[in-house]
Amino acid sequence: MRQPTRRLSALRPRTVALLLALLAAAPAFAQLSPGPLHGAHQKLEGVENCTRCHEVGRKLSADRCLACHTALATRVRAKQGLHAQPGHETCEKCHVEHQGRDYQLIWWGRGGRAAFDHAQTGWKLEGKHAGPACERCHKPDVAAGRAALVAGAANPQRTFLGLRADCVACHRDPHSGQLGPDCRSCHGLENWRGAAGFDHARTHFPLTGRHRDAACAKCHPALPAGVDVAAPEATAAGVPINEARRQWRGVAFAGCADCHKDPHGGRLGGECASCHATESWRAVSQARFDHERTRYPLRGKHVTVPCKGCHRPDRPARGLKFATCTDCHAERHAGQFAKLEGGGDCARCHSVEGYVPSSYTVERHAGATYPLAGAHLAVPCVGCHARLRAGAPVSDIPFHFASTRCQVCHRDPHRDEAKPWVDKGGCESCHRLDAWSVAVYDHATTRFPLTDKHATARCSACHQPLAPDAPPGAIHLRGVDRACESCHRDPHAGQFRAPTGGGTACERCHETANWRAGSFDHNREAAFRIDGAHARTRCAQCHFREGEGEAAFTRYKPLGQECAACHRANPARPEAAVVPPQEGTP
Amino acid sequence: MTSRRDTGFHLLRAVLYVTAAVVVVTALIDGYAYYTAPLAERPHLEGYRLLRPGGMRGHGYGVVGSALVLLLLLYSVRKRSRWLQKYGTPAQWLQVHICFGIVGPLLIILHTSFKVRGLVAVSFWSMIAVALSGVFGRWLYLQIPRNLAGHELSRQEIAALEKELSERVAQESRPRQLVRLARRRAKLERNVRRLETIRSIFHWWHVVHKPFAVIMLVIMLVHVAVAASLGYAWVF
Repeated sequence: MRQPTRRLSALRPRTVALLLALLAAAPAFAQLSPGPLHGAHQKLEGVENCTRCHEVGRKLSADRCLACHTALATRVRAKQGLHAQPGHETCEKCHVEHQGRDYQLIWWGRGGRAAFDHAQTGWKLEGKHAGPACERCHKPDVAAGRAALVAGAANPQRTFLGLRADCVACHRDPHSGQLGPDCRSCHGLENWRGAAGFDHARTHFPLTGRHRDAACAKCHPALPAGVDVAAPEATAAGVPINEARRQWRGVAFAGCADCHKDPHGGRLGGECASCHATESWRAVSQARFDHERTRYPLRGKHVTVPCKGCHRPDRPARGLKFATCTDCHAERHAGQFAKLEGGGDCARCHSVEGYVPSSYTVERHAGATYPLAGAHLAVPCVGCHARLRAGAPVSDIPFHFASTRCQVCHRDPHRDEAKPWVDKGGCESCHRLDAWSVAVYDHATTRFPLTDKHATARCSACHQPLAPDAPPGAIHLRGVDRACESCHRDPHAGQFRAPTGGGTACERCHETANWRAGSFDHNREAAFRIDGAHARTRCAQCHFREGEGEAAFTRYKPLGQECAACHRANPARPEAAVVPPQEGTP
Repeated sequence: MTSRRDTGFHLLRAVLYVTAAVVVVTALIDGYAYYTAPLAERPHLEGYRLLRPGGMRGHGYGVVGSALVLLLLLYSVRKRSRWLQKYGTPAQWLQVHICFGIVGPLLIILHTSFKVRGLVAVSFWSMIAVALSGVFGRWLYLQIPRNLAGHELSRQEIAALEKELSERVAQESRPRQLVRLARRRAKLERNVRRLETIRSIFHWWHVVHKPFAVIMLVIMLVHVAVAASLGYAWVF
């Protein structure tokens, strides 16, 4: 039991301790490192390599790091990129080593890589660039100068260096290189589409008018599949050709027909700009456009009509009809002439010189159903062809009438009093076309034939107006009292009225030839015989005037037959010896 | 006089232990988040610059702890040379040796921030071995039979005691006294055997305690030398 103890105790503890120390220390010397290095620095493991990174007396030195990382050192010296920024002088602040082979060698900050402020690198991520993951841009295949990176201790598979600043390093050029490498001259960072920065005015074909609103594809055609223009780099780099790429350069634009189809079929020549401007296809310049070259040269009033008068927006821009007037103009006669020969051609009455006056003359009216004659020749057309209602459209004007009777146009002023004559022979029974006022009625056929002065008297002198406001000629034709007093005023103040009533028999003294009482025989008619000196005496010497003003009259009867009745002082002739008797005179 | 000096020493030792305990507990509480974090995350924690082995505080733990470890070696120096013999008693030196042997490793544990790898890990684990063996040695030391004054009994003293007891057993006729004496003799015999065992173990305890101390020391010096040469000189 004590035997092994004794044998063991024979060994000197100091010897054993030294042996154990050496045994333990020998392998441990190879592990002076405080921990394994990252896989990228694996080749630097070993005591002999400490000073490759650590500088004697100066701890870690960025110079030692950059001595290997020359790709980074180059940028730092050029003051480019993140590592050249203030606060990034100490490598181990972000790159902690001796933490193991797979340790995340880059410390991105508290927010992680996603919160890294890329602006520190000198390339601020703006717009859509701010969204995607790092690997979308930092890809091994887009790192420029792969060989230089490898030589500069940068791993192309991991490094963030070497990314080219040009857009096509990451983006596919859908223009296939046609527009050069400076994408930013047209495209913004917010949105690829729209090319907000592109100004077509800088091209050889500044957009004006409607061209500004046209979609790009309208003029820039899609390239046929397989055709590759000016994009040798793109194809060489294996960048797939954009199937929707368009021809951005070399688009023919010398003539409008390069893009537009000539709707005139070449009839007007190839110089579109001589009439059209880019503001609008329809906005044809009147000053420049020569309508003579069209199939419808403008004449007459058409010359002054604005283009839009015919080329209206509601009409087709192409194939505008012009064969008939109604292609542009409204048919204003409600088809009243449609049955005429020629389908009612407007030109029968109208011309391009103006809608009015109509070329349908009085002479041409002679060939109509109702030839004009007499006073009708002087009547304006609208006298008969008038709107039937006030404010009615022109189409309301009648040009065809049911009959040619006068009543169609004329109103009967006689209020049916002439009906017997009208029924028998129409208005023509009394009137002629020459003048309304010239009636040809034979008054002799009536019970009151007109003689002498009656024959020259105006009708209205005897025939009273139908109404106080009736127009001239609108007179009563029937029921006119034939007695003289019905027309004539009795100047004798009723001295000859029959004492038994009734009228005054004017014809006993007067005739229709004149007013004078030519048929009066004093000796026959009067009770007082005239002879002797009386025969030479003027009537007024015996028949004095009585009354005043309107009521004045000549006294014929009764007169006193005694001499003194007359031979008294004549108030009219005080010097006369014979004066009429004065009542109450002594 | 001697009593007052002992009291002063005990007080000083108590202050040392309390101070060390406060420092260690405070450091553990303060650095809890850092020390319990996975190693991969530590470089990104707030306390990294301060508490990592090379940090201002972490490096301080290492420097002070190493200094204590170096100082406790003076105990061995004193044992082996006449130098320092006039200062203090062997028991006081042992107490200081034990105190520094506890506090020093604790500070060095803080220095490592519980991350132990590489060459210096050998030194660390050697230090742990030395410290634990020291605790074990201390316990072993307390098992050595002592007289009433508390001094370890020599082989001769035990033999004399055994002879005295044998005689008293032979002379004793009272059964009760006889049993008591028999028990004492049996205990003595047990102690004699334990003393033999302890002496044997102590022979090998030195084989553990000392060589690991040497390993710890050598590698620690290498570690310190390398760190210092590379510029990690703490405040110096």
